[in-house]
Amino acid sequence: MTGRAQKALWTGALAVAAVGYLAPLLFLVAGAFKPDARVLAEAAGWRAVVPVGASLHNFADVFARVPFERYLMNSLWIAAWVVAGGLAVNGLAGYALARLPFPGRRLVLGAVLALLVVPFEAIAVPLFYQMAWLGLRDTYTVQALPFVANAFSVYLFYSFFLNVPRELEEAARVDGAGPLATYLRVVVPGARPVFATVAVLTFLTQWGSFLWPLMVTVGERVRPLPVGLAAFHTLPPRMWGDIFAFCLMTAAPVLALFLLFQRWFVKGAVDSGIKG
Amino acid sequence: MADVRLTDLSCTYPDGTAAVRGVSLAVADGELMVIVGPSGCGKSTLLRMVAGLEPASAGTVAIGGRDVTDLSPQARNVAMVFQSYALYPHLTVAGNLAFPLRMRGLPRAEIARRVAEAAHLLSLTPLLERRPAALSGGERQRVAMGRALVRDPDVFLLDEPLSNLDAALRVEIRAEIAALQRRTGTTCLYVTHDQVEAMTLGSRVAVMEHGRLHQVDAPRALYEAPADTFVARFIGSPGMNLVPARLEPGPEGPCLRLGAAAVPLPAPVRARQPKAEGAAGEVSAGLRPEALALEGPGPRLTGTVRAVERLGHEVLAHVALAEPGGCPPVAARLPADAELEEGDGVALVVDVAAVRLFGRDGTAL
Repeated sequence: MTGRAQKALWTGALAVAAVGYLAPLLFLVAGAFKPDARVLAEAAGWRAVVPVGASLHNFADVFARVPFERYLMNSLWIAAWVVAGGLAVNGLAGYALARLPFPGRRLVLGAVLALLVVPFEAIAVPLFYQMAWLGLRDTYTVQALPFVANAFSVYLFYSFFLNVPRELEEAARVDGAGPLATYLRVVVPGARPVFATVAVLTFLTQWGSFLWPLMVTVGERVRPLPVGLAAFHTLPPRMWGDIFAFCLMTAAPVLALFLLFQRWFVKGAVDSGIKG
Repeated sequence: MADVRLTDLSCTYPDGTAAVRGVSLAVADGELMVIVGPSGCGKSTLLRMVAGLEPASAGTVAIGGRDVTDLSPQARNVAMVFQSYALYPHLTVAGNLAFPLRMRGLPRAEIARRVAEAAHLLSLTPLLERRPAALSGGERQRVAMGRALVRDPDVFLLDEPLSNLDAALRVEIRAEIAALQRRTGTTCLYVTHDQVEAMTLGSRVAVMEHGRLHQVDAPRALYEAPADTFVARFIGSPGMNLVPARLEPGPEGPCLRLGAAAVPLPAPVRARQPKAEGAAGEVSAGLRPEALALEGPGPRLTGTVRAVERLGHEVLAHVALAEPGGCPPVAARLPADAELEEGDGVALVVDVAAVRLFGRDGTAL
């Protein structure tokens, strides 16, 4: 086989795979705009991804039936707190582990690495009782606070900061910067890619979080999107067009964020030694 | 401006390695002191201890009469130029120059004035808006110098600032640094492994090896009267030849037996090295390459030419001596027209008045 034919074969195979991966997403987008009756009726064929009779009716329906905007704001508010708090806390922790020669550093680093393999589900119930004991059920705090400190983020920051040239920090110290000023004015600006990576990863995890908010929220006041979606799913009458519209509006901010930060995301993942 | 005084300064790492061992050194106000030595001799560690980047295990550092041994780097008012320049990559040249001033909380107008002044002094004005990544090696070096200058520190610390530049640029910037230091009159400690750099820059040069100071002196004194065999070999290119010899008592004072010949020790040598007067026995005769010639009066050392380096204005001949045997080949600096080939037998005439004598422990008599 010639090189050209081989290349064409590969391109064809990859195109088929790409369509395979994209199909559910296209189905979601098309279904969100279709009249409710057509969504499942056309689900089995190629027509599933063609938005025949497109309108915004399903979206209007969602807003009429549930307080979607409330769920959205709740999700954004919680994710913003976890991302902002996470960048501050985990960045400083990673820096301390990479640079400060404090006693027990290796032990702490070992503990952080060990925490990477503990699934959240394993600690969900004890954490629930702890939070309930603190009287935090059904609040924003209970949804954000346990996720601010994150072992994976600490580890990403730690591996990135290990490679920051020491002389930069020493130059800053000689130039009159204290430890915090050195971190904020010299180390952080040089670490924007890893901050962006951690921000995106944290946001994604938080945005899709379901089990914990389901356990700790009661009403609609602090309910985030995934729990709202689950509730909407069971809300009679079951309208698939509306559900698809809800799903699309839930996924859209994540897609937008990824496209916006794609460059940083890849660079940060490479610089910190992980593959994106 | 201030003087720098190091007293019995030592640095031992947690694994027990002693990087600096009991160094005492006084640098006068406005002096440019060069610290030179081979890689790993502790010179950079010593500089970092003055900056406050490395803690002292023992001894004291005083700047301007103030004991700063336990002070943090930012409290010492020193400026440092690093080997890698350590420019802040996210800041422009102007931002880099302004950084130390911002850290000191100076008013904006004052910062702008000082940055403009430093940029003008170092011809950096057209580059102020560029980032370090867009600068050449020489330009980066000048920005690093500017960042040190702009704060008007008590002491400049320079850690091998020219080692990343090519040879031509190194000579040019070396002269710029010397001129700048003279103009500002700021006390300066300059670390290098390059003895040519050390000799051309320093008003005094401190030679270090294995964490110890061997000698602190003016460049000419280091060259002509090295305190020990290490300094003798390290300073000069090529270094001083060390030839085994004997001091023997003679009717009119000590005689030097060098190879087959024995000659009375000339008066200038006896005046420079009074300890040679009563000494007898094995010594090392230190001979600079220019103290060896192909003709003239004086004792001769015979040997075979091992290598000839023709440098244009002179010829360096490396000669394995027949007697005394066992010593490494000696280097002789000969006129450019000297006709020598590898393998030739040769008799080198020694200028005995230029000899430097070292005892068996390696220190000068």
